[in-house]
Amino acid sequence: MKVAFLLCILMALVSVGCTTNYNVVESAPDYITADSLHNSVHFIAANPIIQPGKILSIGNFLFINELYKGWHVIDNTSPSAPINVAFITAPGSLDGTATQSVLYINNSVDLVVLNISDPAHPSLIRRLESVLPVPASPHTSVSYYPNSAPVVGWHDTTVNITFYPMG
Amino acid sequence: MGKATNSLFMLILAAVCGCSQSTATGPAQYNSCNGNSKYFFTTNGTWLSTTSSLYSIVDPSNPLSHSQGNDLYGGDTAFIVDTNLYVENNGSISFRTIGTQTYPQYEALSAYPRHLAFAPGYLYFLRHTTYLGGSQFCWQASDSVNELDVDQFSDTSYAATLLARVPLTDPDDIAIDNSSLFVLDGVSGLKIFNVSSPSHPSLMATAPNIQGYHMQLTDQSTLLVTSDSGLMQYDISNPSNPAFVSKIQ
Repeated sequence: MKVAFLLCILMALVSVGCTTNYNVVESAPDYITADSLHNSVHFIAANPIIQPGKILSIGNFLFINELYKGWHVIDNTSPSAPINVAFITAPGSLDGTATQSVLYINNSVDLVVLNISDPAHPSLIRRLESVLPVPASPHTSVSYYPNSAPVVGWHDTTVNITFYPMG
Repeated sequence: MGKATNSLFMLILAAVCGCSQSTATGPAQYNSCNGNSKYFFTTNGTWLSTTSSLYSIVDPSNPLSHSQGNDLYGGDTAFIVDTNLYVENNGSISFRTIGTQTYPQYEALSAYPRHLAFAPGYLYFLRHTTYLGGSQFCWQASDSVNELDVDQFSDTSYAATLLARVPLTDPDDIAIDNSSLFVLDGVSGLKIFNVSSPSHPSLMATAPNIQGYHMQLTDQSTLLVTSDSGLMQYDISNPSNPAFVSKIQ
C-alpha cells in the first residue's frame, strides 16, 4: 500500500508539477513602414537631451545620439556655455561616426550620410537602404524577433512565463 | 501503516496538491543594458566601418561596400587606427589591414569585453556582466566579472598577453588620453588611472559624483559625459582632478 501511495504521489507530481509563474519584462519591436523610414530624417529645432548615447566631437560641434530618436547638434564653441542648436530626426538611430564634414549614422536598417560642413544646418547626402542590422533592444529578453519591417524602437511588454521544474 | 507514517504521507500529499494549485508570481525581472549604444561605427576619413560592412568613402556621396566585409556580426565594438581595423568579437580581437585579405586574430584573454580603448601596442577593455553582444540584441554574459583588462599585443606575432586586471563595480565606458585612462564605473563614479606603466594601472582619483553611460574626450582637454541628466563637461587639464565646466539638457 505504501508503494502504491508513493506511486500515486509521484504521478501527481509528474502530471501537475510544481509550476511557478514569473512576470518578465521583455522588449517588443516598434515598426514603421519602409516608405516612412525613407522620409524620416528631418532637421528640426533643438530637442531636450533625454536618453543620450554616443558622443561625436567634430571641431567646435558635438553630435549626441538620442537613443532610437536621432542626433542632437550642440555648438560647443564655448564649453562653459554649450548651445543646443538643432535636432536631426533619425528613428532607430543608435550609432554614428563623422569626419570633419560628413556624418554617417544608422536610421534603423538604413545608412544615412549627412553633410555637416555647416554643422548647425546639416543636409542629406545619401541613403543606403537596408544595409544594417535591426537596432539593438534595451533589454536582455526579447519577446519576439522582428519581421522584415524596419524596427525603429522597442517598448516594454510584461510576459507571464510558467516554469515547470518537472519538465 | 502507522499513524505517524500515514500523517507524513498526507502532509506530502497536501504539499504536492498545494504546490500544484497555487502558482507563485515572482517580481518583474528587468534586465537593462544601460546606454544601449554599440561603438561599431568608426572612420579614418577614407574608410567607414559600420555594424555590418566596410565602405570606401573617398566619395562620401557614394560609399562603396568593400568585398572584404568586416564580419562585425557578433562583435561589440570596432576601431580604425591608421589603416588597421580592429574588431572585438566576444573574447577575441581580430585585426586586418584594410584593403587586404589578412585576417590575423588576437585572442583577447577574457570573454565578453565591452568597450575598448586603444594605445599603440596596448588594449584596455572593460568586462561587464551585461554587455552588448550579438548582432542585434542585448545579452547577459554568463559570468559576473566586472573589470578592466590590459592586453599587450604585437602586430608581428599576433599574440596578446594579459598584463593586468583591475576589479570594477559596473563599468560602462572607457577613454584614454596619453597616460590617463578614464573609466565610468556605474555608481562608483569616474575612475582615473595612471597607465604610464600599462602593466600596473594605478588609481589616481575617483570622482563618485561623475556618473554616466558614455564618454568622449575632445582635443581641448575636455571630458564629455552623458547620463540621464544630460551632457556634462569637465576640464581634465589636471587629469586627477576633473573640474566641472558645464551641463546641458
